[in-house]
Amino acid sequence: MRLFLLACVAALTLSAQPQVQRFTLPNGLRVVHLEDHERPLVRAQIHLQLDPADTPPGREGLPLLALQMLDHSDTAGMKAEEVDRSLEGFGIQLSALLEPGGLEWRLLTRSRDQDRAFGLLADRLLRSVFDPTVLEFQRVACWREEEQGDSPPLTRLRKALVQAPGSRPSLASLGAITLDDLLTFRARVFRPDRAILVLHGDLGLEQAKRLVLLSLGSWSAPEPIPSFAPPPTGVPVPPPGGAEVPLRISAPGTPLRVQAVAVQPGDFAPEAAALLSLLIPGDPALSQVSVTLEGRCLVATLDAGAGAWSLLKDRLEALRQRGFTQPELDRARVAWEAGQALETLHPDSLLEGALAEAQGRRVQVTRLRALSVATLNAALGLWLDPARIRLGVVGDPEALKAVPIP
Amino acid sequence: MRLLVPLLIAALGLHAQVPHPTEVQERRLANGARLLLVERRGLTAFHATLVFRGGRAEESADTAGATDLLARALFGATWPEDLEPAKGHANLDALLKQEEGLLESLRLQRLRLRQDPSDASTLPSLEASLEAVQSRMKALFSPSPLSDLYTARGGRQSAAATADALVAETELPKEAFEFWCRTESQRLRILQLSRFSQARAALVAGLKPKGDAGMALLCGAALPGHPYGRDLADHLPALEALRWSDLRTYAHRALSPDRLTIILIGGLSLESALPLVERHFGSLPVPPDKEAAVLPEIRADLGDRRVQATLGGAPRLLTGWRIPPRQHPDHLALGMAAQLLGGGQTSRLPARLMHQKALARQVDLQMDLPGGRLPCLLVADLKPADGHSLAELEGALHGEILRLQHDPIPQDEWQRALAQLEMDHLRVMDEPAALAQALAKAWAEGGDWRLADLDIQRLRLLEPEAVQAAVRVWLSPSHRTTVLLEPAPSESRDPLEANMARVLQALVASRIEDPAQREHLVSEALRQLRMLSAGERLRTLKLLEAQLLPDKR
Repeated sequence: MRLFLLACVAALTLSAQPQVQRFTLPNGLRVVHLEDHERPLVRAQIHLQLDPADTPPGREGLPLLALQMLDHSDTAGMKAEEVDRSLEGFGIQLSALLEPGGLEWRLLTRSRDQDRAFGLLADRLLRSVFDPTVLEFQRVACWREEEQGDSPPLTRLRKALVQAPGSRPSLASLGAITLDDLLTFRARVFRPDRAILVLHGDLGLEQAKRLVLLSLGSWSAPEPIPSFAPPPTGVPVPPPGGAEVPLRISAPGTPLRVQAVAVQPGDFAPEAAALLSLLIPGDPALSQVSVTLEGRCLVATLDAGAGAWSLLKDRLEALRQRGFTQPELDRARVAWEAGQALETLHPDSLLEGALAEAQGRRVQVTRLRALSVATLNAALGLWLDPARIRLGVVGDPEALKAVPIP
Repeated sequence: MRLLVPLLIAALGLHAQVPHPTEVQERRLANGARLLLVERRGLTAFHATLVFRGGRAEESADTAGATDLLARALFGATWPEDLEPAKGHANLDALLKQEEGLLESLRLQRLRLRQDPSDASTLPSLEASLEAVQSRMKALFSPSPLSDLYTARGGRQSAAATADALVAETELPKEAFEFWCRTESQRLRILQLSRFSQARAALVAGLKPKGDAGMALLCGAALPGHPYGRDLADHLPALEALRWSDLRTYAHRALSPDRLTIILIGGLSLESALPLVERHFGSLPVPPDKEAAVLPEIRADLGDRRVQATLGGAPRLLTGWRIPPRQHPDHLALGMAAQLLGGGQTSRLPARLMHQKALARQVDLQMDLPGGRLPCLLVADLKPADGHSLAELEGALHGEILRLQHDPIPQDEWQRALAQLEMDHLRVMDEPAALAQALAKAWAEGGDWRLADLDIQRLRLLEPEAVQAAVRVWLSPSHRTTVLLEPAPSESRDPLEANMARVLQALVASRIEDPAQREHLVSEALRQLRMLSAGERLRTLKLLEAQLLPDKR
């Protein structure tokens, strides 16, 4: 009896801390399960990894168009509107996103509707039939989304700059995508062995296994389709954005503003990224420069006057040259470790954290503690390398004429 | 022991429950501030929201922008020099006063220069003095990164001005709770605003490019003469004239404890949190002159108003209906109407106008614009699909409103709308930040935080006929304002006329508050000017331009 009571008390205490469990389906789908019975809700996030080689040259925008098509296609058994109606009828929230490293679907449902919700997710993901009649319409919709004509000019500039110059969709590249391209892309990318599913909420491990097996267990992994050939070795590839002519967005009546985007290199250590993300935005060297961090990008904006390009670049370069000190590194470590507690306030952050862990890009505390100032400053040097920085400017057409090309 | 076992089992079984309003514990402090606490035992952090009821709606014309400025200058960051009087506080105060004097002298000197451009003799010396004072201030500021006290403790803070409140949100590990209480009470007591000039400059710079001009036009035309209809971008001179000491005076009134609700959600119990909250926030002084703001009335049935404008960009149809405030019995029914019309892909407007008729390429519906404490707007924001006109879209929109007013609402549609609202409610209850926001909004708009939960209970009891009755009353032509944004960008016009339109718009912006009247006046003036020869029009343009401030020419 005492044992039983102890178990009950332990269960009560632990119930608010999600327990992390992992399993893999026979088809290769990796699942991370965070059990949390605080509320009658289940959240799921499914991430499909994307490689640059998944998009053939001249077909930039293919992942976005594929996602758009998937959202507006009938499934094997239901019309697209019926899927939407069914989702909304049960209050199930399902959204699809194109993230820098992949395609993502996020699901939120009451725990009582989890079977239905996962069934509908599987329908959309696995059993959608691309409808050629909606291709043209979706192509235009993609271009509008990409162009963001209704957004403020600075937002448009930022959106363009965070994308590598070679991967920005254009009207021509979107126009060149055929139904065959979409089908090939789907066959190459939509594979369970490329996917990670994170589950969080009011369902036990056995229940989770049953649910995932029933809904996504039939997802087959055919022979991989070879990727498009990467650029031949020996041919120098320009750093993303560095050699590019700065982007200019002309918007009548808009004050002049310059923007610089620095993208972390692909193999950037997550520990260095975490610490630098805390240190850079508040650095006095960047006074007057507004700094925000968006994923792997540092976005620096300056209200321009004469010489704004060089002022912005000089500020970033001054910080890069100076680097950070040991006491600053120590303070950043303390701040980062304390900040981990905040993850419990945001269910979506818990899912993100679990996904990062499964992808091997989560910050490891031991590595964070072992990071030296020299390594941190080397990472800073790499991140703010002038050759990697993409530049852009927005402003009134007349004022833009006076801005020299840096 | 036998009693304990069933109790524990019952507790385990009850875990995954929908939160109940009794989860929220309320206490009133001696100085009038309120505390709402939601304990979430498993959390190792807490979310804190400070809500000061009032917001932009209570600003007078000469303090327009003060709430936004406070959000930036007071809560934008947490600097040690703003909180610790021992660290050169008196010195900083003196410098801030000097800076205020110099900024004001510079502003006046620049105004004089507009009258007499030859009188620029004192400008360079004033600018040099200001630079010197600002350098001395900068020397008092923390020189290292991570000097923000919350960031250094793993936390984060943000603040926003809304039409009805100033809201500051903080998230910190729960060990830092006492530190948070001390910091926030110090912040409110001292009101240092050490980065006032930078915050004001950043706010002005952010307002200059004008954000959503279409929405500002709609609010102005639908709610004329009321702070809810005010576009801050039209009040830049007032904002530029607002001094450090003015803002502090304003803050003493706007941030008084009787306007404050503290919302805490996370791993804190009332027993541990209340003594600290009472010690730090309970001792905040209440200003002696507590004048309640008198807000102008807004008549809902001003008549059907129409504005036709060309702002550049894609064509867009904005329709706003004046609806009652959140406390009004019809407000809930109108919320359900908005859900039926625009909540989700299968709701009426997206389903009919986008998917079936392909008239629109984008449909958005928003309630309670710009706030919900006073009569406000329900807005349908539609963008026509290629090949379709705004008039077609407008006709289709009116058709859908009529259908909602008169045709019975199918049961499955009703259930779908309700299911989505219930799910939203469940998500809000689950996420601390969203719950805090819902409680803050309910209190700021409706005067009662319980509305955050009561609304969903009342929705379950609502009848479709009540929704239709409310739609017939409030979504009627007499409550409607329509803004048609035409796709005629300046570049496709005669450059002289485009320039003339720009100058006329700038001239009337400072003289006429009602955007509908403004647009009418500008288009009428352009029509008359077309009768002149090109040379005469050019001379008229120069004359008109001379009346503009130099930075607007």
